[in-house]
Amino acid sequence: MPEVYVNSLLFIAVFVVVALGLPIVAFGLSRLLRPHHFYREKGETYESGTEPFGTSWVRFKVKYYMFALLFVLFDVETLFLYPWAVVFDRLGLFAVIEMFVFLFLLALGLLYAWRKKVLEWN
Amino acid sequence: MNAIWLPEVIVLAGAIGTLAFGLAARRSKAMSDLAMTLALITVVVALLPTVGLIGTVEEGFAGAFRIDGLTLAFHLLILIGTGLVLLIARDGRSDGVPPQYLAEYAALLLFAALGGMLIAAAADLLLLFLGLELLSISSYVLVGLKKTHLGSTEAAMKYVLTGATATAVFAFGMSYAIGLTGTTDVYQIGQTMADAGFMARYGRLLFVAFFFLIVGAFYKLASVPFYMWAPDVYQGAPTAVTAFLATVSKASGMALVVRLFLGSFAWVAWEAQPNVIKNFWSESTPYIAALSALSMIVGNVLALKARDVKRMFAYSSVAHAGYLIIPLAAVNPMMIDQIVFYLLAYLLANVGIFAVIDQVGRDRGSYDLSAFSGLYHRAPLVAWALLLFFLSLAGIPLTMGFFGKLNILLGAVWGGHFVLAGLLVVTSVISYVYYFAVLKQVFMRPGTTERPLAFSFGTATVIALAVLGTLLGSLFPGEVMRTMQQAFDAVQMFGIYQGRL
Repeated sequence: MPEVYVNSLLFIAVFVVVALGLPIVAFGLSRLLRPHHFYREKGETYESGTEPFGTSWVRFKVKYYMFALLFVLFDVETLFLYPWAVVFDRLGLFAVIEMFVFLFLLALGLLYAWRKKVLEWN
Repeated sequence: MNAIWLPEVIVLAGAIGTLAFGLAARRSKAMSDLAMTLALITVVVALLPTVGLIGTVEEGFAGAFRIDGLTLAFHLLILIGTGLVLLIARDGRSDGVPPQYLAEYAALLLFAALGGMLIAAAADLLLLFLGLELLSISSYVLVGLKKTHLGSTEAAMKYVLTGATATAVFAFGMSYAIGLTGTTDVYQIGQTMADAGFMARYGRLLFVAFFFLIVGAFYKLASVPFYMWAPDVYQGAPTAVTAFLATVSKASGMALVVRLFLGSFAWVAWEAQPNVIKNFWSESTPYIAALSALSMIVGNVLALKARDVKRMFAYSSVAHAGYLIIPLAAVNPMMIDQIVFYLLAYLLANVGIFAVIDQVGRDRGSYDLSAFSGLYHRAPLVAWALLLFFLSLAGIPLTMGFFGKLNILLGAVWGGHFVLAGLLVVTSVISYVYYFAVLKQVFMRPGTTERPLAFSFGTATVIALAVLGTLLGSLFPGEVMRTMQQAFDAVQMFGIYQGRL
């Protein structure tokens, strides 16, 4: 097993070489091949075709992050519930209690977010 | 089977209870105070089973969770430290922390303490990592609790970014250690490494793993190479949180380093060439000694320039981390006792000083050195207590800190590290300069006001307890040390080796 481990470092080395080489080759080649004709609009930020306006230093609503965090809460819950459900038959009563302790802790997190008005979007 | 998990479960229940209490009692000031009190009660209740477990050596949860002398000693340090910090935090309400976050404040302190306790009890890399993260993430939030204060937000940001880097370094080292040995159990890693021929083949990679692990763990200690976060974070955080970082967080980091170093690596010996036996301990010593020496020098020299008292204590804590690492470099049979005794001396003196800093800082609205001028005339008793704490931290003879340093010094000499022993003495003398700069303000400079400074109940209690503890350790160092050795037998840590050392 450890021999494979050392060998796999070789793969990482190859990966590093490829990861570094690919952009260098791609950008270098395109720099050599492309015509050079620069005007101001080309230097602007790409905004999916619409004209960019304002500065890029805008504040995002912190609510996005809150929702993302809450999503992680449920994501992790599912992650643990699936394997638990698959082997449910063989685990017995102890696993049921343990899972409910886990669910209780997660539910507290949700309750906390609820009371702190994270779920309201305004 | 004993309920070896009882202290942790009590702290967890207390933290959840405190949080829920804060939810139920919205915005009511009296109720928020009760949340802090609830957290304090939790710590005191958790102390009881911890004391009850003294002398137990037991593993649970398939060997991932281990109660022994080392664990319990650090549990006590962490719980005592957290209790004292909670007392300061309870009175430091106006220290910029919005009152509606008091319940979170208390709960996060408990969660961070729980992380530290898990680190101390873990004998499995995954559980160690879990505890480390619980402690780290709670600390990040705690540092940024002064939401409207720019310095606090900056400190939290810097703490998160540097902390994430350190965690990544630690996790990288972990991946090597686990990948090579095929196990996550701290002791099992050591057993695998001790197999014949293993170190000869993978020795280099394991040294890489070791240094990444140790360097990542040193972040919590605030020692070289990961010390640069300390001044900004210590300065920006609420003072009670600074006290927590300087004491409880450092103790947890020490527990992590000791468990990893002694559990997995230190005792492994192998045959490098025919008839040449090498051991990990002596091979890694030069590097650890270098980190320790650099921490002592960097911390003490940078502290000389600090005008802000909280910054000064950040550098001072870097220096103390350097002293604490010496026993790991200088191999000797009493090393764990030396570390725990010194941590206790350091914790008591530091918490006491931060209690005073908190009260003075809130009174004067500044943490500059000059805020302390004339303190002797404003609060004579507290000034004398401050003198005791500073003497103990500086290591002036016949204080607890002195005996702690003496033990470490003797250990260093015993292990043949005369350079480290010399540096310990020299840098301690350098530290007198900045410690006495504060004392000079307190005793010899006239303040702008002579108005008596009233100390609130919690802060006064912390100072009184710290004075009591420091005096006890100063007057009966031998007895304290012997009691510690009997109660928290460090040899239990080595029981696993079964004569292989």
